[in-house]
Amino acid sequence: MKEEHIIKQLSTLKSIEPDAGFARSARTTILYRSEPMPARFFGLTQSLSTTLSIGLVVMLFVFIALGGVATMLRTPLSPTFQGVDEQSLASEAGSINQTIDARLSEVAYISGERENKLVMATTPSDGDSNADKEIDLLLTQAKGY
Amino acid sequence: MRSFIKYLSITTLFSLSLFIGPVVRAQSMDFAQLIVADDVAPEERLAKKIELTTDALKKADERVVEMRTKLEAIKFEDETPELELRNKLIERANEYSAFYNDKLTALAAVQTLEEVDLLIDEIIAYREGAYTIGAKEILEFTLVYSYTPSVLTLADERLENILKDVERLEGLKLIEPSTFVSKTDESKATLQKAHDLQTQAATLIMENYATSLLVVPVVPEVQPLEAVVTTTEALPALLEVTPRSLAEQSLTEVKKLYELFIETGEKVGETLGIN
Repeated sequence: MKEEHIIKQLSTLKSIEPDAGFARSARTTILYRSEPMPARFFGLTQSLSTTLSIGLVVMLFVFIALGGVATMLRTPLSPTFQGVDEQSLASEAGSINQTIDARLSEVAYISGERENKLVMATTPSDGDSNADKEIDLLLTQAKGY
Repeated sequence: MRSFIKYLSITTLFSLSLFIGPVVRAQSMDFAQLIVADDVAPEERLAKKIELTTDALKKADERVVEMRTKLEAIKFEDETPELELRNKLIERANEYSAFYNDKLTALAAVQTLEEVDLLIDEIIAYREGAYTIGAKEILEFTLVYSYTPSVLTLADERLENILKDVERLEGLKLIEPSTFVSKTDESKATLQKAHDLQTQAATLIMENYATSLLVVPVVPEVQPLEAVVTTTEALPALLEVTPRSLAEQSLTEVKKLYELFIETGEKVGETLGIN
């Protein structure tokens, strides 16, 4: 009797089935799960991750050692505050002064101030040279040769 | 002892030759060149004169083309006196170009030193006369209508950027408000002055042009002595005000303005503790 009872119990347990929703989701999980990572590849990934971390730490130390943070803190004007940036201002002012002097010198020369030493002194020796002065010099040389 | 003196003398002479040699050589260079210039054959002199004159004429034509290009780049509205004057100046530049090219053709036919010298004299006389008068006007016009406005635009943009930066730094509480008021106000005033001077220069150019178009016979007026003295005294001051002088003053103001800009930049740096 006892034995029969056990067999009956087992038969009842055999008929137990999972919930339809659970069975569907479990099947999907089994079908689409990624391949288990081989132990060797896993080890390589771990190694790379460690190397990358060490590398980042080393880079951080180098950055700090080179004064990266200090530089960043010391130059808040660049590039967000270009208007008041001293280097940019000095460069623009230098360029403007040079071209102004060259232009004024050209006009002064043609206006008959050829002998004005002050004007001649402001004439740039290179770059935007005074073309009329050069032409007159060539003609004088040609005449006197 | 005698041999010692002999060796000493030789050494001294050798040392002196080392020092004096290059000096004598350098001093004699110009003289040597002069001798060479005097000694050159007439054919050689002619060839060199032609070469130098050709070079001068080519450069002169390039110069005129450059002037014309600058004039053509200045845009005005249709049927304005400014456009009329600009076109007249372009025509004048074309005349100069034609003259230089004619002389280049004439130079190719030159056979003697006398001919080339005559041609050079003609070119020099033209440059000192007609060319100088017209080129002065062209350069003045370009200075007032092209160069000065471009510099003023650059300065306008820079001032605008400086004002924006100062405002942002004040907003970030990095600088005290009103710290830069005096500098920025001075900059604004200087830039305004530069603009005003440029406008005056442009107005004067057009007034002079309008006057040149009027055919008014000059009738000398008999003035009392006091009036003549007053006019004569006022004359130098009047003569100094030309479009060119006004444009120069405008550009000088721009130079001053950039000094102010640099001072402002330095002051911002000091305030932020980054200098």
